[in-house]
Amino acid sequence: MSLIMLGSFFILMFSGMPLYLSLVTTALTGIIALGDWSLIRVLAQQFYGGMDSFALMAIPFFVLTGILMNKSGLTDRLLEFSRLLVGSVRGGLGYVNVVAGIVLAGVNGSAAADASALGTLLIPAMVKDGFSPPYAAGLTAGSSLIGPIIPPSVFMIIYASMTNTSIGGLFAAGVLPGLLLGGAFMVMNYFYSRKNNMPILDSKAIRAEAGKTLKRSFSAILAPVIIIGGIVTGIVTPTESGALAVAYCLIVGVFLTRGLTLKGIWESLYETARLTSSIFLIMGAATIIGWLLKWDQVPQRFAMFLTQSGLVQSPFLLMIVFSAIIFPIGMFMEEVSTLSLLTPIFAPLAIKAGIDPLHFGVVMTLNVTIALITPPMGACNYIVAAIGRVKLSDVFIHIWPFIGVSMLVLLIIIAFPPITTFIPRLLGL
Amino acid sequence: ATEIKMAYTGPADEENNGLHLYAVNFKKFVEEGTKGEITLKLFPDSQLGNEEERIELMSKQGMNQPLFNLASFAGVAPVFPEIYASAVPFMFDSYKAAHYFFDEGEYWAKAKEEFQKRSSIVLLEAVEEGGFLAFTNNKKEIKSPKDFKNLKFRGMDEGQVALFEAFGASGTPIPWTEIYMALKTGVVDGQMNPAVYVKMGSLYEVQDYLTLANIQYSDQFLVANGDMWNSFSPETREIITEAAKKANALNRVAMEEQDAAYVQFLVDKGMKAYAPNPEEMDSFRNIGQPAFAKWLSDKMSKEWIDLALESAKVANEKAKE
Amino acid sequence: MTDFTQKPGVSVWITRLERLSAWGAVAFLTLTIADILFGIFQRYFTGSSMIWTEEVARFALLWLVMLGACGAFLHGDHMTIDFVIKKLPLALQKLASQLLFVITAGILCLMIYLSYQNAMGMSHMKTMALNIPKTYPLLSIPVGFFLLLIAVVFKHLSYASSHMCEDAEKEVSP
Ligand code: NA
Ligand code: NA
Repeated sequence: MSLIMLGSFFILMFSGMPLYLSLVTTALTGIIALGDWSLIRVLAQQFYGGMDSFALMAIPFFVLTGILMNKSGLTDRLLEFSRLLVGSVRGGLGYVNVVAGIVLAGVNGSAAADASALGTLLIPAMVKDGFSPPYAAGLTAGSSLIGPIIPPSVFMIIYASMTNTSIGGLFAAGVLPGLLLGGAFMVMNYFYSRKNNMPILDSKAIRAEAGKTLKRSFSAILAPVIIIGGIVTGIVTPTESGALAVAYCLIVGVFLTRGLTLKGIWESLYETARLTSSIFLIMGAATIIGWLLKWDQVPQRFAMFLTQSGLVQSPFLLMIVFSAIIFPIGMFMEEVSTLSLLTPIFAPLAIKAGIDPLHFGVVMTLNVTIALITPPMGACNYIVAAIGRVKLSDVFIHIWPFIGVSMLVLLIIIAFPPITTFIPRLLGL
Repeated sequence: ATEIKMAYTGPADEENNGLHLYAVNFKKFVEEGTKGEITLKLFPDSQLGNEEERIELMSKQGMNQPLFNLASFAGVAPVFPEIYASAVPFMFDSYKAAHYFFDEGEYWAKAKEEFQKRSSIVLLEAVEEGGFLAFTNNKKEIKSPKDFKNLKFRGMDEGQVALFEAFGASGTPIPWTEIYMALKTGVVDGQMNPAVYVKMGSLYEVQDYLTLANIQYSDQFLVANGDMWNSFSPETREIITEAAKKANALNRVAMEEQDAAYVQFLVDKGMKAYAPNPEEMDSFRNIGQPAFAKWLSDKMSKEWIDLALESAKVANEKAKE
Repeated sequence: MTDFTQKPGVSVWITRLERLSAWGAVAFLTLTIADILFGIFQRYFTGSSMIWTEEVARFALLWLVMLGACGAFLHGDHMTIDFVIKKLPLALQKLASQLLFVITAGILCLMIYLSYQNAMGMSHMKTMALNIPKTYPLLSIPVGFFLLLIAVVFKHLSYASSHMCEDAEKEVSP
């Protein structure tokens, strides 16, 4: 069944059919291949189930905030402010993106919310600053991956409760790997900015205008303060911070900058509805595929087949093999499913091979997190494509350097266990 | 041989997931009893969908798939909200009483009948899956309802919220994956769960006090697809019913032993445990039960609540003998 | 709104359809935002949160997504991988688009039927907080796909007719 599905999916996807429809059609061929027509209504059930999620609720709010900020002129002012801060650094906004990703990661447990928040604030500004749209979108998707690695992390909570590992210990183990990942993206941004000769502004000229800029951009700075500050202080959840930001942008856009007309608001709402729809239809359709794979126990059989070949003895190689198994599965399956299907198979083998449970937990989490940006199925890619108004094809092509850098970080972490275990040991966890 | 899928929640870990332990034993007894004519394939970790989706998958109005499933309250209640009458807080004095309630009680017999009528799904057994629920918090030692004043609790559903509000605390719904952080950052001060969940979710790292108040008996429900059930011969049905009971007997012993061990584990990790005395338990009961019953009365007719309380009373008496 | 320069009869209907999709989706988006904001105020002022606000937000989002699908299609917002197909010869591209139309319409019909059946089958299930039949949120799927199907058919008709016009013009002019 899986081979038939794989084949039909690639044909349909490249035929120019909308992605969500290729996924539904693929699921249909899967059911035909299973030969069990009584399952057909699962198409409707799982499609609904994949979209019915409070965790994804933040997406429309951040999409709308981004559009409203553009229309009301707040994005321009935010850009002016950021030039004041990092204008004299080549590719400065790229670093801002990564740092903001680390800050959000420290308070937020899910990458989808981070990608929405970062994309809203930074992709339009980065594009105006001269970054190519696919790069801006890709870097945002990359920055959002830091979210599940630096605590808190939903993935880690799931891993810990499945393996009876201490959540506090695993959280502590994620700090250095998360910073390492952020550092790697910053290095990448350094080379990108040099290669593309991103402009450097004259710092004297900027400083001369500093007072004026600050005054003008004050209203715009409040938007990230509401979004990031609201989440950091725990006053609101990430979802709620999105709704608050919408309300704030509406008020400022209508009464202060006067950039928003009634027509403008209508257009923003309608555009948000369309983009939200395009993301959620894919989430729903992808969920059907995941369900069918689980029904037929495809990931387990695949993993069993490879791990029971008995070839692997050394912990290092074992983790490489596990990563190599997770990568293709993560391309096609939703991340929580991947994690909860493979953890029970892998964790006992890892413990037997003498791998530290905390180290292995971080390796599993990072693997599953990277799956968020591996095409074709990766929630963060859809989000940055929709928010950044970048074609999905372009994201799929330009995301690979970011995947490569993440894999490199994964390899470093696999090779040097102290990166994960140092802080937990220090804290006695 | 016929292969039947069996779905449930939680990892495939016999030591820490009572549902998996049950599934493994049930599988063994069914396969032995039918001499391999029926084999079970286990699907842990909600692989076939969440609670509601799994019920849809096996109900006649849904996809009518031949399945066994361990359903929680969240799975049964959308079709049969009256199931909540079996979860009135502080209704059982002991494990033994809860066992009588589900093995011989009048409420449970009627519940099985009504659930099948509405969904065509057969309700086979109330599987013991953990100990009694206990309160945890990180503010102060809770001995009686008055200690709840001004604390913030995680209330999983409106019933729990009603209970906490009756005690003078507030209740906020927070999903399981977010509890740890919510307790750590002080979004809420406490929650209620069996000791096994407190251990599994590492909640002892962020909670100091444990109150063993026998709040609710924790159970899930073994259910079977109706058409599949009817297709079995009477002997096969007998074998499966027996297997369900035998597996549950093992679970009961294991869960009660484990619960004591888990409480000890939590104490070793630094939690301060307290078991309320009979007067304190009375005050929990006298405030908690009416508040919960009031919430129930929006969801079902009074008959069901009265029947459940009456059955519990009988069971408590019987357990004392 | 989109500018349709194709056959007037069909394009009027496409515009009407889009207006329906837009109004519906925007209404539900507004409801979602208002509901979440209400939840924040509720918690801030009374200290406790209502469990139903979460359910309202989820269901409104589903309706917004499904009603918005039609508008997203008419605006070309659905995510598509088209760099391969664009490299094919034009005749093959045309053939593929005909084939895709047939598959799309077929799949949409199937999904409308299945999701309608699903919505009706689940009428005996009540939602946790609002205590309403699960049919209400489930119905968003057949309704949304039905609007989408009409839009797909209309768009196809209008393209077909506009292509015919082009061909006819070519024949007349030297
Ligand atoms: Na995080
Ligand atoms: Na992926």
